[in-house]
Amino acid sequence: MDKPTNFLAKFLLFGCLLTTVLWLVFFVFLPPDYRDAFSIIYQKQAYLEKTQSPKVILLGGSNVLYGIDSALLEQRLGRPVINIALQVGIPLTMQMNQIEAQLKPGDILLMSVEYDSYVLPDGSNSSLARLLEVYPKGVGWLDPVNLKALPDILKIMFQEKYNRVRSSTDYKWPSLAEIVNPGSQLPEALIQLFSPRGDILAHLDLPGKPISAAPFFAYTQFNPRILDIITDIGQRAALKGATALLTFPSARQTNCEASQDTFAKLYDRLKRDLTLPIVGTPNRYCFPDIYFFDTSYHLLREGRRVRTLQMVDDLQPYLNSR
Amino acid sequence: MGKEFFVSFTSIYFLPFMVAVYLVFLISKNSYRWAILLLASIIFYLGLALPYLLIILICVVLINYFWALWIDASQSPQKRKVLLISGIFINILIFFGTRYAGLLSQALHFTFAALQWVPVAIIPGLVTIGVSFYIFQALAYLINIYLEIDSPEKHLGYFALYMSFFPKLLQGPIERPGSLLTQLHQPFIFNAEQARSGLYLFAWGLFKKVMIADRLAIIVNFYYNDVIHHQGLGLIFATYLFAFQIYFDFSGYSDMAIGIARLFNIELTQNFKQPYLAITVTEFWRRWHISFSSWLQDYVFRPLQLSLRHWKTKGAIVALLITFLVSGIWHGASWNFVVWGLLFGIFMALEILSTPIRKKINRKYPPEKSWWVRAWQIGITFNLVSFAWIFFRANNFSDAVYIIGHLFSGIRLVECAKLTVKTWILTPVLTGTLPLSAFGAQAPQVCLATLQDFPLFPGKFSTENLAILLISVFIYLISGYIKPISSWPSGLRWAGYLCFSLWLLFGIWMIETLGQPFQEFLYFRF
Repeated sequence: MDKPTNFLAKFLLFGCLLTTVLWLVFFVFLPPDYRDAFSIIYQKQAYLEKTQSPKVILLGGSNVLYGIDSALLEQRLGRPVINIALQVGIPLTMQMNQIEAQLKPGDILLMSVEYDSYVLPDGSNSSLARLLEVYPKGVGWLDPVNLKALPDILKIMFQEKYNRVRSSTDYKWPSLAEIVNPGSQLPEALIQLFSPRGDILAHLDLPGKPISAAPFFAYTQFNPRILDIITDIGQRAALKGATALLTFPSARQTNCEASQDTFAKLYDRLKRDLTLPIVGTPNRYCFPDIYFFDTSYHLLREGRRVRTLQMVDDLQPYLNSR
Repeated sequence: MGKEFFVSFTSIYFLPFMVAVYLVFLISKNSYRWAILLLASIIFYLGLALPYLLIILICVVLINYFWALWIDASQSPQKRKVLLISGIFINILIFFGTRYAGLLSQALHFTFAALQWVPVAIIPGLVTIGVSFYIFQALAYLINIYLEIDSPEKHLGYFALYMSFFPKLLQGPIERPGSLLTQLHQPFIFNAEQARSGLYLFAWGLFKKVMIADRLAIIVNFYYNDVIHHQGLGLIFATYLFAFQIYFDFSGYSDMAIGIARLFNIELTQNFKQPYLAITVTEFWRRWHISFSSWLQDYVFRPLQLSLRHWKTKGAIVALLITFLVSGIWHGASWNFVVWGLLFGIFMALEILSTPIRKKINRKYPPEKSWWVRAWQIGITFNLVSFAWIFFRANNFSDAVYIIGHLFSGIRLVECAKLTVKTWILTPVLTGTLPLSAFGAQAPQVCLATLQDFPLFPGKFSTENLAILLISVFIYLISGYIKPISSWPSGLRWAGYLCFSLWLLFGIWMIETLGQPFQEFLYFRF
């Protein structure tokens, strides 16, 4: 009589062999394109791991990536600052999972969530696919909701990879160093685009582009799940002895004016349902249109400076209280 | 379909489902294994997200279980007959009720409205995946009990499993009680070779479905979903391709079902035996959807033929026509299927009538000795079958009529050939001039005009699709000429399995990348 365990072991071995070959094909011989801005996550993660506490960690979407001068913030607050944010499509839960191990007593966690996240709090599969392609280890940071979407995320990732390979004319074999230590050879041009603390710098002096004057979202679309997510992050931070704060994204004046009703209702709801401190109000972070680059969230150099200084003032009470 | 694909064989969720079921099955005691399989079958059916299907299944199971016991317990032949007929009637009522209630209510609604009577409410049409398959199984069970071919199953659980065993639940094969029930009762003894061949067969079925049938479907759909804008060569090409699409689709599903069942030491009925190599339509039906055709033969054709035996040949022909009419109606409530079924009945009736002539020819040129006779017979049979598929595939009856009316439209092959010979061969030879005159250019123009309406591969059919299709067809063809992979030396076998799996995964990746996900199995709608 045959033993099922032998068969299952062989089946498992075959599965491992198949996975290895697939991994070799998709991640080694068709390596990620580290020119993608998301590759900067390697640098952000390394910086996070080596930064001493108490520190300030910035979470959120591109309003944080584009719109905060971490160096200035660090100088004024007298604490190291790390900008973890990449894009609105990367959910807050994932960012929290990313930084949780490095969260120490006395740290401040500042969440500046785009208004889009109050509608779609779980990010976007295409953003996750982009991130996981350059940083596969990030799969360990996925929330159960995002894990459920993993087949779709992988599908998008492979689609993008295929399209890139198909249109690529400059394929070159990855070096041994890249294979052994992925992300260790980030292109110099990419590194130049970011500050060591993780802010993007490339856009700062570019001319602004015309932007739609639509409201950010209609309050009827509000997804209460974001409240659970923020509360959970707050509790997890508290367990580590850190303080989680919620603030509002930088927003273009014209869009703010179109969103007054939503802002009022949103602020009331957050005040009512959240126990963690809320820094400022939506209107406090509305800035003149001239400060913006390509979306109603992305600040240019002057806007970034003004917002950062405002944030310094707003954060003082929380620094002093500790 | 969408949500209904939750646990279809080609769904990404099927793999974890199957692994979980198999592991639980392996670690369970023999006495509980039927319950594991039954539970898995229920979850599988519920995975279609149509809970009413489970209710219909439970009703059919309970009715047939008790009806069979009742028939068996009855001593009076008359009572047994009445019970059998009533049992058959109830099953047919459920079959028609679920499948045609929507259509019937629609017809009644409009008739009553026209007569200005109280209108009948229109019942929405139901999706009845699997119903026709297990109803046929139930009918076979009742008839076999009545004829005392089989004994009734006393254990409700085993009977429910016989009816609902998940590998064959949605698309068959239609199993006979004597075969499946007996196997379900046998204690499970793990057999590595059996399990390995089951897995391989599953992968092979997936390969046939995804890599070949679904690629062909893109071309077939291009023509058949917009027949009005096509004619001639394009329609002929799509019709031939559909013949292969349906074969690879349905036989792919059957292979997958047989492969999964094999993991549990259950051998389901072989449904296909190289049907397009049949030399007659009768032989084709002995090789195509065998579990269904043999069911029709045993439970419709033979009883009819027996009762009409005094009509001799005429009786056989009438029995054939009725049998294939039943086959058509089983497939669907439309003229397409009725005509499709009747066409096969007519083809086979013609074969009966032409038997003396064909015997004479076969005596003079035995097909087993004359390859060309055999090739001719295979060709004729394939063309007749492909012609009948037009009705099966066309979206409606008027499309089918249009296709048949335009199969040869716009084809100027004869003219093209004549002009080519005249201008490119005869004229240069006779006059000693090169065919570069304006007159000479007519031939290619005519030939090109023939091809104008025939975009061999439509825009959506990318180079990648063509590559996947051609390489997969090549693999399929050579697989018939090489030793089975299971008999290869160990190292080579592992390499073979690995290469095959990689090709399959690569194909699925490419297909997903191209945004052309899996097509619905063609037989899901029956």
